[in-house]
Amino acid sequence: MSKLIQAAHLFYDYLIRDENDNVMATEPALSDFSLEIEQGSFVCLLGHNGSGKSTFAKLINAMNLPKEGTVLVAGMDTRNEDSLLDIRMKAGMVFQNPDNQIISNVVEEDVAFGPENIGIPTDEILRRVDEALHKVGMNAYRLKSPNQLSGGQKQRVAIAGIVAMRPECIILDEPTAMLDPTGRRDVLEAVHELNKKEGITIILITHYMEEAVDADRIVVMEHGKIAKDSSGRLMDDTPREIFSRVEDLKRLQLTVPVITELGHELKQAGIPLPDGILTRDEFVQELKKLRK
Amino acid sequence: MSIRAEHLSYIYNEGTVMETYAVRDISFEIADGSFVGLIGHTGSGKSTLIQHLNGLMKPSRGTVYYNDEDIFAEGYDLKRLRGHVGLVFQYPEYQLFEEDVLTDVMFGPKNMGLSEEEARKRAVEALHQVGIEDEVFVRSPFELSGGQKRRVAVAGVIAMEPAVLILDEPTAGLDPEGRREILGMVSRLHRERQMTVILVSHSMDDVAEYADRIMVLNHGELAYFDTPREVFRHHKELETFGLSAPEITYLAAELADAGFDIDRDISTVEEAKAEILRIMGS
Repeated sequence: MSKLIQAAHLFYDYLIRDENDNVMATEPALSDFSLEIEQGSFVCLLGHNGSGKSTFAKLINAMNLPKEGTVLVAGMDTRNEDSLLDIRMKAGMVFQNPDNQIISNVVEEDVAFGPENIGIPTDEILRRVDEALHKVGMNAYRLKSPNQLSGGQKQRVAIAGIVAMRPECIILDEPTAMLDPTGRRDVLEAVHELNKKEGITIILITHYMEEAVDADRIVVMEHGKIAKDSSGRLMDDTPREIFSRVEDLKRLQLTVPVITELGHELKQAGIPLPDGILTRDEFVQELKKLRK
Repeated sequence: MSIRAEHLSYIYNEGTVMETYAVRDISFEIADGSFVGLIGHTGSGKSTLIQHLNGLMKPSRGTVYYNDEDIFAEGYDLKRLRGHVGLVFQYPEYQLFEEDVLTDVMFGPKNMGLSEEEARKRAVEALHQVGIEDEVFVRSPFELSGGQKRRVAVAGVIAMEPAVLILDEPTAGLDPEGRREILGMVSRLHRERQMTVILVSHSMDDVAEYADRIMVLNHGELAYFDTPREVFRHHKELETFGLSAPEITYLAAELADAGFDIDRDISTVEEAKAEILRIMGS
């Protein structure tokens, strides 16, 4: 598989300014952070608030530029201004608050905004809007006003707006933080569909461990770089491997999915369950084995 | 002593074709010292309902009684009520505005008419209660981390020493540690100060763990008001409301279906651990 995103030795600081705009202090957000992401993969970024996840996300589609180091998106350097438009078409972003991302009064117009902006011909726009709304399961709402939609539906419209740009990668920064359980589930299903059926690379930032269970890979961040576990290994692995390291995650101020936690607790109480049970189904199967 | 709603309705655009009920004919009584989890899909009326409980919104029909007094009656002192029934809005950190943390938290008590000295005492106490240390008091609230800001905002309400604390999705957008801090703090206030708590949440796992009663709203109507055990027993109905049950409740059902002799109506990791240790005979 080819590397869609290659980030090497990134440094990024936030500058804290006083009233006269003089820099009072610098707050390092990324320090020597390197990460490569394969085309078509589903990667989850975990880490407590302030660990650098969102900063990295904003460097991918050139909303911010690194102080040092390079980010290549499909081989294009984000510092090259001539590639800016191409990069933003290839890598689209979805944010936490659905209300801040919707601009039109009609769903289909909102989805058409991106393609219109880059001068796509009308019939092609219509085709893309149609396609994009189908892919996120929102076609029935194409003529509705976004303010009649629930949070989860709005997020799916926001995602459709990116899909209409035919991206290779979608970066979602806590897209479900403000949603109810159904909204959360629908958004995640839509994202997984786009990954599986369309081969779109997904980078998901979340604080809900359950949402990371179905990723191909989890990268845990801490102090602006990839976190290390107690034995010095990088916390960059499959969900099963990462969620087996319950104590390391706790030290990093994270948790594990509820089912994994239960398995871990039972194991400590003497029930010989394997580490890193991720789903209810696995849990039932493992417990059945012990019954026999 | 309690909060009681009687046939409470709030109607938008009443008498027009656009007439919609945000909440419809809701009646309940919340006893002193209880911990209520309020759940419902987005737009189910949760935020509208809680704003009636401290008189920020006026009902179209019905009313609210606080300690048997009708809070919407002529001459009722709503300002005093808001000192008793404290409301922490969603994303309360956006409401921080003072130059330093301590002054910000003093705003509420001062507004209630307390002296500078008394307000300061209350603010210091409230900040300690939410786990903010003295050296942070002089800092600008805008320099703090997300979890800290939110705790300062909660302190601003606690400093008024309310008997009832209502929180609208206090953990939205926080990382697991931030969520644990906020919920741990709320649970401590509930235990140590016998504060009545109403917690609006989208996390079924959180309400299962902390609440002793759960109130479920669906399209503005009160669908259930019962113990977590009873409410989550109806997980199929909850799903049709856009909600779900805690993961553990689903796991218990799947284990029971697979022939394990397990209590189906559990909802927390602790309960599941005890049940599984029991059925595995150790």
